[in-house]
Amino acid sequence: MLAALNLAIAGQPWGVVYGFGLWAAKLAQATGSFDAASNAFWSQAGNAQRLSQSLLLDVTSITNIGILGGALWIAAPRREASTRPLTARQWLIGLVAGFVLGYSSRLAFGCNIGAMLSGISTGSLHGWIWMPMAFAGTLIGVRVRRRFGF
Amino acid sequence: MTIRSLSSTLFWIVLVLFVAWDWSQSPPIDVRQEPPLVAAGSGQAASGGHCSLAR
Repeated sequence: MLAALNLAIAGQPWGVVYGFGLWAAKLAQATGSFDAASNAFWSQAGNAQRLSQSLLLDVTSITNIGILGGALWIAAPRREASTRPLTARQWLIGLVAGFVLGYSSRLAFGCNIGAMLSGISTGSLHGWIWMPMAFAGTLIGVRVRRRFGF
Repeated sequence: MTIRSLSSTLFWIVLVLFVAWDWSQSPPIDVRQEPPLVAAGSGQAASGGHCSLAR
């Protein structure tokens, strides 16, 4: 129901990755390490407009802030049940895995939300292609988790 | 304060600072040109996000 409301209110299916990419692009642009005009993706009219205006006008950024708040809110009462802290190696593996996850989902034109859930629910073929690819990646991910004791 | 609550607080401080920085360096929002409250049926095509054209 929330996904349908997102579609009606925002005019596009629910997504996540675009917002984080936008935030990173804004930061990279501010440091002078990134020229949006020479980038094929960020030079497109809609994306260039998002980059030049406040992120509060970007639907995906707003829903992302909601996701972050909701995740921390739900996790908060379970503090006493927290497990042992991560080791330095687990932190490193986690950060590398997070980067690979984010970068690959951008290449795949979305994560499990934007590409799979929203893709399939709006009748797009790419969601169905995304799913078996994600399962293939999960076979690796589960073994990495087991190998490093997560 | 536990490490977890400390990192949670730190996260929110960084996020609020980022939004504030973005707000300060972005052109002011023109309230007369704001996107429609409900996009469906508004006649305006969505852009950005999923509606970006892949080339």
